[in-house]
Amino acid sequence: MNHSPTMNVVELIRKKRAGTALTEGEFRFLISGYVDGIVPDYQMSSFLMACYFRGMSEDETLTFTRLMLHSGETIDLTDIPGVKVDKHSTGGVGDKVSLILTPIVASCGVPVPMISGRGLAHTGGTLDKLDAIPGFKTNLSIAEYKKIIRQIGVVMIGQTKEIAPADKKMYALRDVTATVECIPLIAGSIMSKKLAGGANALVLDVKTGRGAFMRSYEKSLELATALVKVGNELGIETVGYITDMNQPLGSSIGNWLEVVESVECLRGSKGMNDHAADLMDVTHLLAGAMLMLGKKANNIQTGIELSKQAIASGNAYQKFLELVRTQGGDISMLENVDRYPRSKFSAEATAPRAGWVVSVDALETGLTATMLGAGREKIDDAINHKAGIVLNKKVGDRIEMGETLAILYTDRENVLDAARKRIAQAFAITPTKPEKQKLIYAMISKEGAQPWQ
Amino acid sequence: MNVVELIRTKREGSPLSENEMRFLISGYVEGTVPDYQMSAFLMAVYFRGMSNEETVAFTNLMQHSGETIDLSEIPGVKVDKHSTGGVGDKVSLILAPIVAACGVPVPMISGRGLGHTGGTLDKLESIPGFTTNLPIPEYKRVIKKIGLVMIGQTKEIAPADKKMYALRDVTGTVECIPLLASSIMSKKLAEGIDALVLDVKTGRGAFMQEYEGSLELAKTMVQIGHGCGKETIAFITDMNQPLGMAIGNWLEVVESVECLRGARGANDHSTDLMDITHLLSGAMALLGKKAGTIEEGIVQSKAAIANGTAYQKFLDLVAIQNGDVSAIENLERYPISKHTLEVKASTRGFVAGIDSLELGLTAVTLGAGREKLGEQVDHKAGIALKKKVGDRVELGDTLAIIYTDREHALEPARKRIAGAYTITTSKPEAMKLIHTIVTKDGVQPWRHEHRS
Repeated sequence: MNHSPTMNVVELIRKKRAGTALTEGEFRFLISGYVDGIVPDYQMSSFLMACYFRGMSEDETLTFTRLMLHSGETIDLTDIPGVKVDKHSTGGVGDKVSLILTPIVASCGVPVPMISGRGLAHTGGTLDKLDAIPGFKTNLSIAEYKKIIRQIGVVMIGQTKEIAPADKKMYALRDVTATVECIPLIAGSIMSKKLAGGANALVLDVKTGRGAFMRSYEKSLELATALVKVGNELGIETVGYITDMNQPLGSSIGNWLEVVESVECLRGSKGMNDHAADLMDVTHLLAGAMLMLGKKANNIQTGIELSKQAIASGNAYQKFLELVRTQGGDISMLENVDRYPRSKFSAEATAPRAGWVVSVDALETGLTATMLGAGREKIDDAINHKAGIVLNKKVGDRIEMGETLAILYTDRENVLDAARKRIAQAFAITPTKPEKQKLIYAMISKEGAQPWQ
Repeated sequence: MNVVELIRTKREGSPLSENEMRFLISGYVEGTVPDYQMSAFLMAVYFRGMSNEETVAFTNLMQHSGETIDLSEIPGVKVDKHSTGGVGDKVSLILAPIVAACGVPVPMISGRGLGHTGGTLDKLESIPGFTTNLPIPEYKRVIKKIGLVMIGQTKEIAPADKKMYALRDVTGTVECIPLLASSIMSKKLAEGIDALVLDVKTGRGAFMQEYEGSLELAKTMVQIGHGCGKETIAFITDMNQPLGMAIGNWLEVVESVECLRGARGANDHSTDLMDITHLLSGAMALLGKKAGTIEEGIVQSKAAIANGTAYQKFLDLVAIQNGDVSAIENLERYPISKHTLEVKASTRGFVAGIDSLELGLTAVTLGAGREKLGEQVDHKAGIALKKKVGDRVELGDTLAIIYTDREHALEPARKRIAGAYTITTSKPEAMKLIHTIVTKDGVQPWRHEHRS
């Protein structure tokens, strides 16, 4: 086993282990050493576990994020006019907000440069959803990325190798060493990538509940606070919202199925007083906040109005078609969503008794979708774009015995029955009508956290 | 079974089952569990600890990752001793022949020095010709023949521990009591012993500087020993000043031989060394069923020195392990370091403290020890103390003598040693040497200190 030269890595691990804050020079030594291969995985993983237990001070988190950011290239979008605003979600089930919100905001005149991730475990990823559109290219070069945002005011790509390579390497290590669930590490990972994208402002959607990365409200609030702090300190105006992820958002889970729901919402044929209403409430809120940060609205309420108008006028849908076309996607498939290939098998999950739906377990639904082929268990698993689940009932709905709760789509015949049972069990049914659930809990800005009314 | 889930379980503070531990350890030895997952697991253990059951299971699995030597064909209760390491700690060299001379077989597998602490193996190897890397059949032949054998760890013994220790050393996960205890005990249990006496050092020059940490370590090791069916007694002894008067491999052999001959160890600077040696020997005689009590064992230990049987046993050991007995019988014929220097007192008064950590680290700079595993040591190098705690010193009195082949190291070492001595105007109170005895029945202060 090699001892690392110069600064002593073991001493730095011991320092963190003892709960002492590391200096910027010490962090730089660790992170650049890790990227260069001088600090091996086994030292970094024990350091990360010490961080899990000891946490980081605010200053340490800022330093850590800045160093991760500068481990790679930062995209300069200053030559593009306007306040560039991006949005990030900590991930959920059925969360297709980015697909709808991005064209809305861009159609209102705020440039949106978005770098998204892939789905993992029970959560989906925007990149996989975009990839479900035939021909859509997400692996653009930085030059193409800049060209497209200049041309149409919106671009959506995946993380390139130039962006935050330290984070890329460290995230892969955290994934296999049980060091993912650590707020300063999460904050550093998310924010280093977001800061590299060239946006001037950022809206964060921090999910909370069963299907969220952070299940407890306290942890979600802590994460949102850390993210907002890092963003504002590192020079991009950042606002965060804590939103519910106890039941899936909207009615579809699975990549192409979510594209279809997004297109229907963009066309205005879904999203009001139906099973996509929660999806659109969150979308309009975040779009409204982005329009405010992008100086196109004076407050969030005005922003929300602008967002709704962009749907009603058809501008948002047109912007989406423009985005798809510019990034090589097949528009005819969006205009005729029925032409898309269908899964070989489908099955209905039905209600075992009458009553009211009191909860739809988002975690179970997400894991079942993964079983069906819609997601991945490991980072390089292949996914089936067609597979997934469409919910026919959501929380608050009245159901009769034998009514369809959800429809499952898959090419894997062998999992169909188990998946159907699992989905049926994910629905909790009570004899009395449940109270309405809160969808948006709090807003976090640099002034602090406030409950959302 | 999923490694990430096991790391997460430990991280959340839940105990792992024996099967889960087995999956981790055997996977680690076979290479299916990579270093980066093991180090994250070990750091989680550092923060969350282990239950008694987990520690015993962990030790058992480490032990059984390799061979356990079967000494059942050798009659008698086989007893070994282990020290957590200190400065000037040459107890094993004196104690092993004493106990063997009393009729208790002593199969001892020792380690090398690292950092400021010395290792029995390095001391033995300073004896010309002495072979410590005996294969297991040879190890068994020697103990059968003379009732005593002293070797180093072989690759057959606890390979999981060997691999894990190397990882802990570079990932900041050494200082964790369940991991320390299981590492020590897995190796000792593999030797084929029936019972074990532990010398857990505490103070400046010890691995555990705080008494509470030393006590915790002692208790954990005693629990593991009994959990694995071996009677185990531990003592917590002082390592605030070096033990005896010599630090450095050959210098310590010389002091040991003088003590074995009875020429040193009573009312001189080796008295603390012999007090501990007799105590531990006495406990070994008790566990080996040759004495009814520790006190009775101590009397037998002293008799083995007085009647020369312990010294004779040492010579037998040296001879059978290919050592040059004449070098022991004629200590003055050994080569001397190229450079020597006396460290003088710059004030008068009483010695109130000698920082054993500083002296251990200084001995390393002279060539007597190693900073990293695998480094060579100079057997001749070291420090001979002329004054110990409680001694009266006059201005200009010699405190210590430095021996080294490294001329450039002389002056810095002289300053450092002088600085390690605390001299006060009034006579300090006597320091406690033996703090505590830890048995399966619990922890008790040690009150039976006899002075020879």
